[in-house]
Amino acid sequence: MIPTFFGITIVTFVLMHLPPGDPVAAQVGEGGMRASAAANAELIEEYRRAHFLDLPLFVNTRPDDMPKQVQRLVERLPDPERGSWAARQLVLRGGIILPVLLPKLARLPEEQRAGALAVLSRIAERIGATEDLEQAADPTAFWTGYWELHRIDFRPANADRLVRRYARRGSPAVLAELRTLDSFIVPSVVDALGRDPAGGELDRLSTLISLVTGREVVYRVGEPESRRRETIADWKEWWFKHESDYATFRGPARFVAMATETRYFKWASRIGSLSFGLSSRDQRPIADKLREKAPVTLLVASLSVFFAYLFAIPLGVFSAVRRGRLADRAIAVVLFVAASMPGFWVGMNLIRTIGRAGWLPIRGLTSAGYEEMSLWGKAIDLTSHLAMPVFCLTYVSIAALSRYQRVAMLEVVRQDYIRTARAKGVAPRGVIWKHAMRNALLPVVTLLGLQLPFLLGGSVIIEQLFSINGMGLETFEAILYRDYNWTMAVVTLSAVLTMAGVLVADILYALVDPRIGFGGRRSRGR
Amino acid sequence: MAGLATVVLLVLVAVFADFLASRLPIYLHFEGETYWFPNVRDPPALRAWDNDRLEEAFGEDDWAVMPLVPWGPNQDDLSMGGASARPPDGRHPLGTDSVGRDVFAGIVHGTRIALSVGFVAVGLYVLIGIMIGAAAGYFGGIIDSVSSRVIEVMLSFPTFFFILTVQGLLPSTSILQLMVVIGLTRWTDVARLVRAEVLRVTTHDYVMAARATGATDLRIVARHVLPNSLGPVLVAASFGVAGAVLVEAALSFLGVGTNIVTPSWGRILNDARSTNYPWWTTFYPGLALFFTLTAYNVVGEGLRDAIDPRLRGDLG
Repeated sequence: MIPTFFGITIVTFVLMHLPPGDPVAAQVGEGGMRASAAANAELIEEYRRAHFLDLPLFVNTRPDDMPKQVQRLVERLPDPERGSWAARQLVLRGGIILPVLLPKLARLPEEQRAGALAVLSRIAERIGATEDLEQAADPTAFWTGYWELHRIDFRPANADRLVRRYARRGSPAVLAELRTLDSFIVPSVVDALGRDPAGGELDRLSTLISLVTGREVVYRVGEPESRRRETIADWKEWWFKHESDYATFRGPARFVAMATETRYFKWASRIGSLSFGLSSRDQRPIADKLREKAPVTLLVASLSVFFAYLFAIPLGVFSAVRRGRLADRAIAVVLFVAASMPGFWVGMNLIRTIGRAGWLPIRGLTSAGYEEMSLWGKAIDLTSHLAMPVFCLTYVSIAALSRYQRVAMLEVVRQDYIRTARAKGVAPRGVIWKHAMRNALLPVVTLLGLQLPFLLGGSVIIEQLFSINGMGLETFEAILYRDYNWTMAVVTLSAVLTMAGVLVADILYALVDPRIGFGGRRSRGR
Repeated sequence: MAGLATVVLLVLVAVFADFLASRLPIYLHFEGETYWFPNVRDPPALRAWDNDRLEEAFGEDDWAVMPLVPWGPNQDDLSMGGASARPPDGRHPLGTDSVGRDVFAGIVHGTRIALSVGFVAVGLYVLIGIMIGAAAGYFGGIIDSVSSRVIEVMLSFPTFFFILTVQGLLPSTSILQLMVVIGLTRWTDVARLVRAEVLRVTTHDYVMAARATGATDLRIVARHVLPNSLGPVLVAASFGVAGAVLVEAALSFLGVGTNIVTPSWGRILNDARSTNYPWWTTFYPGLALFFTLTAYNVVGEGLRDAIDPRLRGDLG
């Protein structure tokens, strides 16, 4: 199981990196014509960060963290071209750079220090130290002194405590204290966001983090529950991408970061956490979208499986009983022909005839005004919408399943216990439906787990054809739009579900057939 | 037999597609020049011409042998005014699609695409499957466990869905690429079959005998083991062609299969969908698809009955 899952994530990962060439240029280039070259370069950098393209694939020998970034940016400050950009980046980082920058401020080369001081004066506005700074004769001495005085506050434990207190009660005094730490509190706030805060707490936390990062995504008390989830997901996604701007990898964390600060790990942890990030099409959390779309597809799929079994089992038993007779042959030919007809072609012809005649609706699952209908009206409406899509998915399965049922039945009626039943005078009907069918049902029922991949593939086309707004349609559009997060989520989920289906089939097999055991030899060559 | 006959017929249609429907005549005598098979060769001198205009421009001793339907698969007939799908008439026996391309020509040339995708893709994955399966079954040990793991992983992905994703994410689509994608994703079933058969066959006495005479591994596998384990592969390949043809049509129907200038059954169906389903563009390409799938399924069925008589008697 685990190695297979690992393999699945690897394949998906490779799949997502399949498009050759630089995806950054392709994506940014479309809107980049009017932007200047410099703005474009920043856009590209932002995009690369967002998709982790700046990270190595599997092993990061030199994981980048906040102190390293600060050092690099400070060295770049005197550069006439990129200097202002570096300064802006540093200001954007905010208070969190103080523990890195202040202790060595005095030792910086002259021109770098000048730039650093300019950056610091901007940060001083944010931490409320401007007045003191203006009164001080020597800014370098001021900052060195400031650090001596305040280094005790710049400790993660302190930030954690303050954030927790502010989230609970929201007192202005605590807020003032938090403001002096500026963005140093970001890791603590993210921590608090991870504990699924209630509405009031989230209001204060999101205000706080927006204040220090300059990124305006805030939840207000009274807004709906979905907004609350979206806000949390949005900040988590932001942290997922920007963690290395705020975190420090030291000691063992460094070794961990060698594995975690890689493209593969970023993808895999998304899968592992089952959150999958945001859809790049509409910026909504993928988990939310899945919750909304999956039931539609599952409804169609489960109905299809239900009807397939409902028709296939009696058909299979019937043709086994009539083996070699006209009825058996007729059924075999009809089913064979049916299985060779592509579902989407049948669907198109149904739309062209039944749909055009107005007997059945051809778009979506519900009509306009569905909400106002009576319960009975709703049932009728839904059924009429579902009839054609479910039919198109079902009839192919009927052919395959009834075939299996027939073969299993033929196998069973040869067994001794059937002869015994006959010999002791059980009516033929009883022999077939009680003794034989119960045993012949097992291999067919265990096939249930293997229906899923087929139905998933079918749903893409059928949902497209009948404009059903489910997972299939969404996935197809996501692929065309290159919404990697959604595509990756669905591909991985489908693989995991298929794997689970095979496992369930194996377990069912072993449960119903005592001859097959779990231990030792593998029973089915998988 | 009927299945095999249909397969042969399909292959013939594919090979002689240019003689059934083409933009240029089969033989042409025009303005003192003689052209043999311009329909196949597409000579530069005739680039600007097509059957319709040639006929209008014919002088006294100009004449030509026309293909069955004088339209090419990508040639749009705009002579009737605006671009819209036209129903079958004397000019276009199966009508035209929404941009005036002849449906019959599209289906005839689509056969070529469908069959070549089917054969090449299946050939590719049968080859891969045989090599991996034989190695895993014959050598066992670490080769077996590694390849079994890989197969397990690949089997976890729903095939059509997986192929759709790969095709959709790649920046461009072409028929060759589609073949490779299908070939690289569907080899697992063949590999499993071959592995199981090889495991069965290697226990036989004649393999032991070959080993005793000092034959190399390669020789044993190639001469003794594989020829005796390929039966099930043949069955799988036959059903596989049907599967690959269906995948090609379905992907082209969704618009991510082959290139847009490649005539394909799926392309005509896609056109039908975007123009509110005229019956001639909806019905005929699907019918061709249906016949192809049936033929390959019948052949597969027949092969399976020959190899595994236990299941015989389904189709009489």
